[in-house]
Formats: sequence, C-alpha cells, structure tokens
Amino acid sequence: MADAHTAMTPGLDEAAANADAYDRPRGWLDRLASFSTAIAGFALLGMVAVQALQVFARYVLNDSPGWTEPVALLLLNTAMSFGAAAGVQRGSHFGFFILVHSAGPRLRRVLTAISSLVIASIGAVLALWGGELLLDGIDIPMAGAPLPQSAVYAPMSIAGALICLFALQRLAAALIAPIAQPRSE
Amino acid sequence: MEVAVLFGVFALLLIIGVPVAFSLASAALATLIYIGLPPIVMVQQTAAGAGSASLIAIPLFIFAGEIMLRGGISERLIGLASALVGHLRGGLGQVSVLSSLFFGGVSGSAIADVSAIGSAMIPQMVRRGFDRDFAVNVTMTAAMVALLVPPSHNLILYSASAGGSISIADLFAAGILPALLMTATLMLTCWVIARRRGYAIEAFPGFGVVLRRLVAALPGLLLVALIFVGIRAGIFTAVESAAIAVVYALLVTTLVYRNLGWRDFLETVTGAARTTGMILFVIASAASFGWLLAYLQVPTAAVDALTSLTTDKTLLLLLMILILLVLGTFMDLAPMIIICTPIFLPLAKAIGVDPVHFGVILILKGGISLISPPLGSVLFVGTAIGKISIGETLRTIWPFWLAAFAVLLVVTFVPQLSLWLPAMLKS
Repeated sequence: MADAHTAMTPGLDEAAANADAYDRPRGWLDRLASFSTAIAGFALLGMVAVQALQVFARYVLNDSPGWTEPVALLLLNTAMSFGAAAGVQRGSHFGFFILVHSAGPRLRRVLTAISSLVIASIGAVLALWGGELLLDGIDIPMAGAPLPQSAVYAPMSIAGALICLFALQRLAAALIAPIAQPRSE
Repeated sequence: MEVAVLFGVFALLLIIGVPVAFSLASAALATLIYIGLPPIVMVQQTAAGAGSASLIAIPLFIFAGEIMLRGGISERLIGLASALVGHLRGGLGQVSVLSSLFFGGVSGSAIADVSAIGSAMIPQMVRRGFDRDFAVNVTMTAAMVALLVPPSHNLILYSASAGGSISIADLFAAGILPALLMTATLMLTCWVIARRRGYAIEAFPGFGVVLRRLVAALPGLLLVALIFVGIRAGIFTAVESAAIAVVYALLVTTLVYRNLGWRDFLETVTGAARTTGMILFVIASAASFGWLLAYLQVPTAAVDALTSLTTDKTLLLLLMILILLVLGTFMDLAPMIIICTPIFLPLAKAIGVDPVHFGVILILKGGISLISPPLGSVLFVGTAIGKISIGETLRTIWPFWLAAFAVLLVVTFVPQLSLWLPAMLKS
C-alpha cells in the first residue's frame, strides 16, 4: 500500500524522478531512513501490544493499568516523528506538486531547492527547540508512567535532526545534479 | 494582517511544492514571529497535536488496513463482491463499488486507496473489454464509498480535529446510510453507462459460488462488524477496537488464510509506519496552525463573514459546500479535514447543523473534491494507473461526479439520513 502510495502520490520523489537528476538519495542516508522506518514500525507494534494488554488487563485481570495511555502516546509520537523523517527522504509527504511538475528543469531545480530548505529549517527548529523543551521538563515526572513529562519531545527532537539531514541531502542532490535536457523524439 | 501572513505563507509554500505538513508548520512559525509570540510555541503545539489519545486509533487502523490488503482479506472481499454483482451490467465496475463498501478506506488516504484498488481492478477491467475511461472513473468514484466505512479513520480524524468532543461511535453509525446510498447511486450510474455503451454481461456464477465466497470472506466482514459493534456497544474504545482489529487481522491472515508470510508482515509494518508518519505529521503540524486560527479568532470571523452574506441556512450550507469543494481539490482528505474542521464546524453549529451530521457532509464532500476537475488529486492518480489523459477522463466523469454530488446534497439537506441510525442505536 505504502509503496503504491509513494509511487503514485505526486510527491517530491516523483518531481525529482521526472527530472532524471534529483534521484532519491542513496547510500548511508538510505540506510538511515530505513532505520528510521524500522523505529517507527517498532513503535507501531508497541502501540498494538500496549492497547491489547490494556483490553486483556481490563477484561481478564479486572485491573486497568494507568501507564498504558501515556506510553501509547509516547509510541505514537515516536512512530509519527520517525515515519515523517523517513517520508522526507523518500519524498512521500502529502503536497500539491502541480507547479513543480509543470515547471521547466531550471525552475524545478529552484523550487525543489526552496522546498528542501524549508523542510530542513523546520527539521532544525524541531530538533533544537524540541531538545530545549525535553531538557526543560526532564525532572518533572509524567502522570501515570515512570517517565519524564517532556519525554514526548525526545522522538520529535531526534527525528527533527533526521528531517533536517534528509532535506539537506535532497537540496544538495538538486543543486549538484546536471539539468536534464529535453528529450528529442 | 496576521491572518494574511498565516494563510499567505501557507498558500505560497503549498503552491511552490512544499509538502502540506511543512507548509503548515512554516506558516505557523512565520505568524508567531510576526505577532511577537515565542516561536517555540510551534514545537509545543506540534507535540500537543499528537497528544490526543483518540489519535492512537489512526495508525492502528492504518496497520489493520495494510494487513487486510496484503494478507488476503481484501482479495476475498473483492471475490465476494464479484460473485454478488459481477454479473450485473457494468460487471467489474459494480465490483469496485461494492468492494469499497465492504472493506472501507483501508489506508485513510483516498489517493492510496485508488492506487491500491485501481492497480488491481483497472487493468482487469480493460482486459475484459471495458473502456479505459469507464474503468478509471468508476474506480475513482468508488473510493468515496470507502471514506465513510470503518476501518476508515477519516471520521476519527474529524472527531480529533473537532477537539475530541464528538462521539466516534455516533460518527461511524452516521456514515453507514450515506455510504449505502452512495453505493447504490454509483452502482446505478455504472449500470446506466454500461448499458449505453453496450458492455457485455457475464453469467451469474451460481449460488454455490456466492456461498463459498461468502464463507471465505466472512472473517473480513466480521472484522468490520467487530470494530463497529465493539465501539457501539461500549465494549471497547475506538483505540482498543483498532488494536483488536490489528490482532484479529493478523490471526486471520496468518492462521486461517495463511497468506501473510514473514516478509509480507515486515512490508506491512513498514508500509503502515510510513503512512502513519505522513498522516500524523500533518495532524501534528496542523495543531500549531489551528492554535493560531483560534488565537486570531479566525473561526469567529469566518462565521461573522458568512452569516453577514445571508442568514438562510440552506444558502449558507450551499456556500460552505462550494468553498469546501474548491479547497478540497488542492489537497488530500486528511489535511483538508484537519485544516477545515476548526474553521467550518463553528459555522455549522451556528446555523444549527449537528456536528455528527457535519462530519459526514465534510468527508463526503472531501471525497468529491478529490475527483473534481481540474485539480482533484485522485484524478491524477487514477489517470496515471489507467494510462489515460486527464482530458479523456474529464469528458466522461461527469455522470459519476453528478451522481456523487446529488448524494452529497441529499445527505446535506436530509440530516435524518445521517442522524437516524446513531439515535436509534443509542435508544
């Protein structure tokens, strides 16, 4: 499903692929993105386990544990943040890409560069301020679970750094690659 | 001016190809800086945006949908639909519509659904002699049915976007009759067009085949029933039912169907994780945007502006539908629900529209926007799969579009269609 979506959703990836030039970054960043997806996947499985445990505890043990909701929310945040970071590297985020698709090679390069810069900036903001908020609340206990209250900022901060990194890689790919020449039929 | 900065930056970035989530976050950041509020609020609100417990149901429903799709549940539901209506005029077109009703919006993204279902159905239809434009049009419009049926999470997203105060059980119940009406209308449209074009009719496979396919598809049908009944009866919360749906789908696909191998499972988790990242990041990013909308009192201003034009409820509803239709052609359903709910729900409430009813209208309308010319995003996906130009599609999509729009009008102006079943089930 996701592959179909990625292939068909007119995202950055498709815009890049169309240009023949800004192909999806390969190598260690590709592996880092796969690792990011794996963390999101584990978080997803964790959410299923925690919720299933909650149902089991409520109906079988007759005792609902209080920690399940904050832990599930932390896992949700983890799945979201790392899934979103991997989405930047794959170019699969929702968007409106008609102008990018219809632009000529030079304009497309400029638009891709601007878009990558914006994404990198937001990633940096999430990483830096997310880190600051994490440290600010590290000593305050979370209600219901033995975790710091600001733990939700941890995945956001790390994934923000990844988003920044992946976007900068796309920016470099867009700027370095030669502009594709129109094909003669 | 602050509102102009918020919407201006968002629109500009969206147009130049910045993904929706990052356009929303950037617009919020720019506005916070412009009005002199601490920009760190954007990060706080983004974290808070993913902090609602009801949102946990969304990735779990996405996961359940992926398992259904890859583990053979969807295939068997399509098989059942094929045995039931494949012999009617329009054959596989009818199957597409009924299949959508059976297994709901598996990914919550209409674009992804059309990618998945269209990739399987459109080539088959073309091979069996249907015109490409017919195959593409019927598949794209069929995706609308799925948006209102569990495990589609669009109604949960609407509830979360409305602040979590609207009952998800009521919303699921409210979507059923409109989904049935849409199914019947699209099947009728399909039948009429197929008759006009003289498509051949295939033989009825016999009640024995129908029964065998029903038995094979029963676990899948039970999954949808489990979710619906579990929530409605108050046995599970929406989140718990989503987790149970995942466990149930895993058990059926591995132990009963034996279709889901280890590699398929890994692909399923990976696919669900990616889709989760895309959808939830939009939701989280929209939180800071929504916070600013409230801070700048945009919903109140929108209510005042529209009610100053007219106080007639019918006209206001039509005006709202028109605005939402235009907005909806520019983005996928999830971002549209998140952005438009905080603005238009107060207006709907102000003119006496029930929030549950408005949710059904919003999602149905969102579905129509996606196939609306000239920019509906599902149009691009469907035509790419069908290997047909958008121009060719637009020439013949009108009967389907008008049929869907007629259903939207009926659903909008006959609130009982959405509200009767939730009220009946409550009592």
